[in-house]
Amino acid sequence: MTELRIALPKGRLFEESMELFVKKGIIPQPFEEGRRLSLKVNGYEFLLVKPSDVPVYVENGVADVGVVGKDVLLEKKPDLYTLLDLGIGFCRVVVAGKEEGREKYLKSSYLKVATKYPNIASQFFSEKGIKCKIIPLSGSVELAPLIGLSDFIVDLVQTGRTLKENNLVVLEEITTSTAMLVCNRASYRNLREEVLGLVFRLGKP
Amino acid sequence: MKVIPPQERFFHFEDSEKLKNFFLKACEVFSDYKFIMLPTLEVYSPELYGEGTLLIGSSEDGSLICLRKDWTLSLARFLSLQREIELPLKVFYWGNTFSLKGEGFQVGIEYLGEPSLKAELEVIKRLAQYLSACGVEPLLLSLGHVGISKELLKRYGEGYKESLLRKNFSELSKIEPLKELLLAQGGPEVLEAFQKKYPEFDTYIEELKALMKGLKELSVVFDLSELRPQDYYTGIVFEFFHPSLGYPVAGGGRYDGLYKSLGKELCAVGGAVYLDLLLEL
Repeated sequence: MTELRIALPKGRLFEESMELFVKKGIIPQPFEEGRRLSLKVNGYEFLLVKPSDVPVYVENGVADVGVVGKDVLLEKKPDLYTLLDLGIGFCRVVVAGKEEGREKYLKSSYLKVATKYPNIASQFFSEKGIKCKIIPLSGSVELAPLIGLSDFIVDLVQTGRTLKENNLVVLEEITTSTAMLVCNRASYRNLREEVLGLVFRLGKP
Repeated sequence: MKVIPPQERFFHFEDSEKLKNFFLKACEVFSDYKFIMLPTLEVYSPELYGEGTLLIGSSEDGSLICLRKDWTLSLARFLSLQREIELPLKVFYWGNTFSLKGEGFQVGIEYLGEPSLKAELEVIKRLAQYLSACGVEPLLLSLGHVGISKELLKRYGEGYKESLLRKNFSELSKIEPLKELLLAQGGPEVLEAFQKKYPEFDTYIEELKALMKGLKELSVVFDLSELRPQDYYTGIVFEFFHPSLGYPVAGGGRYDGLYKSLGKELCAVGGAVYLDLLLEL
């Protein structure tokens, strides 16, 4: 049997993925998110990569399947099969800002928005007919409205604690996100048995 | 709306040489086909081209001008304007296609005016022959029939089309027949199983079985849930895969409805090889 290569996201989704894979009997016990970026467990090869890179690995065929948040899929729009909603890693993609900015947010037709999700943000605002200037950042997005880099942010919210600690509030929800199991077009056919086997094990209640 | 400029791509001498050889091979393998050159600039019509077309401006009479998105469409526009065509007609082309995502390079063939499976067999066999002449091996051929998915979508709602295109088990499990359609993927045994349960699709399944008999020299898998992004396909559809690439290297199918929408009765089967993707092998 050929070994299935699975790209897993480091960080936020990693632990929940581990829990799920153990619960469904795919691996015997969770492994640590350490320095090793590739390991073989139970007939699978796992690649531990940056969450937004998961679709890149899978799309190019170096990984057969991967675990990736809907937020990343919406942002990058990769050409992949989205086989299963894994139901883990629930979070929301929201517009947030300072409470005193709420009126401006509702009335203004020009907004400055800092975000890690330039595509999601610009699509969301252009559909509403709001002109916005996107300020692309790759981290610490919550800082932007505090120091006047932007009026608002579009970001992922899980518990809302980071927002609260920075005195920011959710102004509008854009979408919700959970993790999906994705697969590329070739592996779906070339490794049919292996891919479907994984889908059934992960999908069974 | 955000406009993404097409990604510019330079082919260095090495890649250019490969593209040249792909063309020369095509001239050899498809020597019994008629070669055609078609315009790169076309008049845009939204019904025909859909989303993702690269518009480049307007002409003096106010119509929109776009760059060729799809050779099959360009050829259909050309042939539908001809008063007389000698049938059956076999055509081959070589050149670039443009979309908002950038530029692609294709070699393709079209077999027009042959309603029977003879056309599918010919196109699939010749493309396989061309791919192996270009050294692209081993190949896996995936066969489907859009007739089945189109009818099931009519029954359960077009809303499931995106889920079918994305093979979304979570969504499709809500409707048993759609889930079974999705699972009808694999060797010839999946055809038998699906046929027993859904005898109303007999004609389509029999077509696939007959086709398989004629393609013994290829390794074939079936995928009954297969749909192509282009709406014009009406019958058998196929894709060729190579184990070290995540996407198909060639694809095509039967599109009897396309010429009708252009005002001509003409059945057709065609397929193209995505040369810019082959450069990565």
